[in-house]
Amino acid sequence: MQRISLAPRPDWIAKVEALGFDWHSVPETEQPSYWDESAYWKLTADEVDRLEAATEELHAMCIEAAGQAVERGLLPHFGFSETAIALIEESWRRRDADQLSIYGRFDFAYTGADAPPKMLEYNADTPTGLYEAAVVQWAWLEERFPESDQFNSLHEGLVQAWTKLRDKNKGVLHLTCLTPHAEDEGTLRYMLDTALEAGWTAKIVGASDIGWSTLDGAATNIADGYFVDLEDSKIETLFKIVPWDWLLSDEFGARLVHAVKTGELTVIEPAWKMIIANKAILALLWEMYPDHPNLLPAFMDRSAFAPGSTVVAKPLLGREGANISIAELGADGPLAGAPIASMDGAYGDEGYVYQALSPMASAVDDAGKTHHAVIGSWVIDGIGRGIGIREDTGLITHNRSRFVPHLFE
Amino acid sequence: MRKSRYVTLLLAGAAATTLVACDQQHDMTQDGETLYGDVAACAKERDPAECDQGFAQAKEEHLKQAPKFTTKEECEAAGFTQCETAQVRTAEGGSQSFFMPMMMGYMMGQMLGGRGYGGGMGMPPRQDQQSTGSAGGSAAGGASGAAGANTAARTASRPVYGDRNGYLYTGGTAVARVQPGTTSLGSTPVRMTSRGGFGSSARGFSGGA
Repeated sequence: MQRISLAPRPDWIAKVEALGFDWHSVPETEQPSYWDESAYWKLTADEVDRLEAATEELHAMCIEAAGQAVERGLLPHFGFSETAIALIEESWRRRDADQLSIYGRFDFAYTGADAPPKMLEYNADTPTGLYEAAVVQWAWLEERFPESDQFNSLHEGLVQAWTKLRDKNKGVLHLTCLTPHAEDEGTLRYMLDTALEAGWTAKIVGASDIGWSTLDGAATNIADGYFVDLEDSKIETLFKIVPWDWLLSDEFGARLVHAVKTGELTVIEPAWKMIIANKAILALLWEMYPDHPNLLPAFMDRSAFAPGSTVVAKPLLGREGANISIAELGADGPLAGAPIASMDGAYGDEGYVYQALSPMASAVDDAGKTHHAVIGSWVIDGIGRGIGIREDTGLITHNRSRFVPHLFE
Repeated sequence: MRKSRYVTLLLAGAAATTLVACDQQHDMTQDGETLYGDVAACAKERDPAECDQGFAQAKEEHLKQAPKFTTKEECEAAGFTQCETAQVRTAEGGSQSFFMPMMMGYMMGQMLGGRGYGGGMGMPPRQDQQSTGSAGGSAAGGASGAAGANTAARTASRPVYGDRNGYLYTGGTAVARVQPGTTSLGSTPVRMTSRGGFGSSARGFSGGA
């Protein structure tokens, strides 16, 4: 893996906006602030092979681990409520019959060459950065390095996955996210496009516009209702870019649980994806596959680490780097001094998992700044379909870490 | 080659559209409100005196709230099928007549003092639905949405009128939908839609993962 600087296309903003990519920058911050084509990462074909193999193997391992989490009754340790657990278990039981899954994204620490990619986490419920990886970096490559290759067949993968799901599931697909939010809305439009291309009849509805329709006099009666869009048409299949745990804690949460458990509503990603999106899966994977080359040591109890270890504390339900901290442990577990790095956020009450710190790809640019890279590796319908690279000058990748394109030769 | 052979750019066109197509306020029944086509339907579930009173109150509100037109043609052109005449007194002591959609029914909420439904349809209190809670009892902020926050304080009845597409409105917002062409709700069940029950518990909302 090599980071190569190059001058951005002078009109890159107009070009990416023409693609519908209207969240390319964070205003009033140092630029480039999100899409960053002042550099690219160059990989070798061998490195791509490694990433692809690790992605598919880890996906299979995560499915195994999800099964164990259900069978061994481990879900209470994941910080889930009883309601969520009942829903997840039911969803897991029906996963082959009527559960639709499209995608997920592993985050890897990978220094390149023969070093194995190390799984940092699996964003299996609401992964972001899909459009940037599938379309924007593809268009960048087409223009700048049309002879080069890129680990990216995401678009074809998505259309194939939607086609498969359409065959299983007749009817209208609804897609939802929270609004207003340029990034999620843009990603949702892209999912709409790929679903339409696959032959679905599909319709977008804002999350707060979703209605609960009930018979006269039963507005609070969960059993008699169903979800509707703004035209009051019934919602039967719903793709969402809203984390499951947020939906469940919403006012309509109990209605959602009921609708999913009775099969009135199919949600993509299915509820069981909450198991592998949860950071507790890291400890379970390490227990099931100790010393696996693509895993990092991870424990629910940080005293399991040797004194002096540098560990990363991750909230079980955390997202986008929130509430993650990195610290060196003294004897018996307590921190030795202040954390090396930490992020604010709204998570952590649900508990933490502790993971060994792993070296990441990093490079120093011409201005002397060090950039750390995390590789987001996409799984579409079980297949490794491509990567998107996020960079930061800090050690913790977060929601505004820059997206830098890649190619391989 | 691992690269996509093509990427369909429907996107360029899609980008211009905004996600929320409807800027009309398209909610909201208050939880616990019931829609009645007439006093008889109401009286099946509630105290008849209460139903009479609610009906009269709704009629009065309807006169104030319903959209008004100078001619029947204008009223119909606006999408309403059953336009009736009404008269109001002007400040100068005269009167003026106009057209407005007919009141098709009225909605009644729970009464002050905690009086619930009269017909044994007592629904679980709102806390039951909220107790599903966030996964892990974590710090999901302010879960209580806009919907129905004041349910207990509502005693008013609200008039309902319809358009030719079957949407039923109160105070200018759609609250339910029936078969287009329905002229009377009578005692037939009407599906009611409450909105706003998703999207309130986003934590430091900035997207996914």
